Amino acid sequence: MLKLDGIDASYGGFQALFKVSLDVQAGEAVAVIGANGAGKTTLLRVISGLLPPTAGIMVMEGRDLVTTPPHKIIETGIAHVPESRRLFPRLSVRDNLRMGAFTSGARARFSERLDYVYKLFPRLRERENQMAGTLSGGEQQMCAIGRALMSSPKLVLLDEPSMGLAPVIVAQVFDLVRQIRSEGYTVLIVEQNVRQVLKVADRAYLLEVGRIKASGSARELGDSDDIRKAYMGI
Amino acid sequence: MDCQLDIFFAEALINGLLLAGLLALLALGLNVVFGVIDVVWICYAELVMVGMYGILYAYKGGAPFLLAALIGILVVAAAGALLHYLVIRPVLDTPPINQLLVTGGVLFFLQAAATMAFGIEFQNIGIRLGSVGFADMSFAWARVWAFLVALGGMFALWLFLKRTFMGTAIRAIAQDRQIMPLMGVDSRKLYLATSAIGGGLAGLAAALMVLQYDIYPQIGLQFGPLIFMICVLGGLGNMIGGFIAAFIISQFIAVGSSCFHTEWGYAVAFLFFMVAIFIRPQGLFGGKS
Repeated sequence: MLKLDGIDASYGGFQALFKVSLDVQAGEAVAVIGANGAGKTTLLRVISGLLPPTAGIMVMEGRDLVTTPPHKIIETGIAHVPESRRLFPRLSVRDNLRMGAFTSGARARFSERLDYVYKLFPRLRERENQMAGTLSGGEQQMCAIGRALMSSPKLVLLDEPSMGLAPVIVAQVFDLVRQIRSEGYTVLIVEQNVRQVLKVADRAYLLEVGRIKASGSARELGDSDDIRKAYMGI
Repeated sequence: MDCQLDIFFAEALINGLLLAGLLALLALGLNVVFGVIDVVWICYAELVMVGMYGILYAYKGGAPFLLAALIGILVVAAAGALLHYLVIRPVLDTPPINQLLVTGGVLFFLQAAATMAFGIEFQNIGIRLGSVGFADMSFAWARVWAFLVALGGMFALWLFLKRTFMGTAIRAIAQDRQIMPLMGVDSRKLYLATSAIGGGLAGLAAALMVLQYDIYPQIGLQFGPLIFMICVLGGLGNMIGGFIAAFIISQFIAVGSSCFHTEWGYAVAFLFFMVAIFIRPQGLFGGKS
């Protein structure tokens, strides 16, 4: 479905990604794990066009992403739930969801998708007219994921969904991830919470200082002594 | 000082109210642009001037007034979009002072161009709508219409911002510019649309003003400071704040003119403004919302 080959990316003079190659198959949940500053968020920003790569190839179902303008990437079927959720705090929950259906294709199916998201996350319907900034952390993550689903994506990019949330809420957020997986969405998730994310993912890549250092099934990586020592504190 | 609670005072209050509708509309155009793009159009009142001349000449050229007004609105909407495209976009990521100075340059350019093209004479469109009497008071129809149409225009914008995808996106981009591409929004197009809306509001105000005021190239200097004062008093970028501030300021003008000499109306309003802004520097109703 999604294929990256030899991707380099930089912020100004600082190179953040080196020759990153990865692929995601339809129906999979793939995790990218790594420490803070390893380049995980950068990787998702490159995929969704917020940061153009300086080298490499990116293809989504046969469409070249490198030459696609950032606001057209969503039309290839990729929806990005950004780091720290980035809801529009002074828009209602409903208006945030409406923004997720901004593209002309999604607009035509707005009420159908709204019903779908409300069925999936009934809490959002209860909070429909509330400003998104007044939601609790877990509800905000629910709203951010709901907003991404409004565009009927095939691939959902999740950037650190557990970040900044209390431990009990973190478990709920990973339940949300399981829920959208079971709805049939393909998921690419970036996380520092390695122990939890490996329980949700089929496969994983380990990113260190901008380079892919290891990859394999979630179980293989979870059993690796190096990863257990470095990232799971065991 | 000659301030009695008589019929003239009541008439002044109501005239202040009617003026407030127009000023609120003028403030709204500037606030929409600032609230979304974070740029202050110093030349905003000059866009209104351009619209007034456009309507005047369209009308003199034989167009019925409503058509002339529509032409004026479209001309200023296009001018707003053009202003953004040619002048604002190149300096969008530079310090705010640069943006102020370039739009200040456009102010002088438009005044000079209007003087060259139309001369310095005061011109009048020559439409007399008469006045309406009410309980021994008399109000110009042009003012009553200006009030009603301005309220209608503001309500239409409110509906647009609340009900449409484009309007929701305009509210959203004011809150988080960076993630708009993730929503499939082309920010550059949205800024152009917002600039056209700001211009369109200036054009609508021009259509209402052309029925009440003489037109001359420097008319922007008469209204510009007042509009900026209202916007800052309401909290720059805060559309509802600007609306309320317009009603406060115009009452100061109307009652000030009634109690003192006419010439003092603006001075009283500015005095209030200075005191208010000293107490609440962020404006009466805070910043963008």
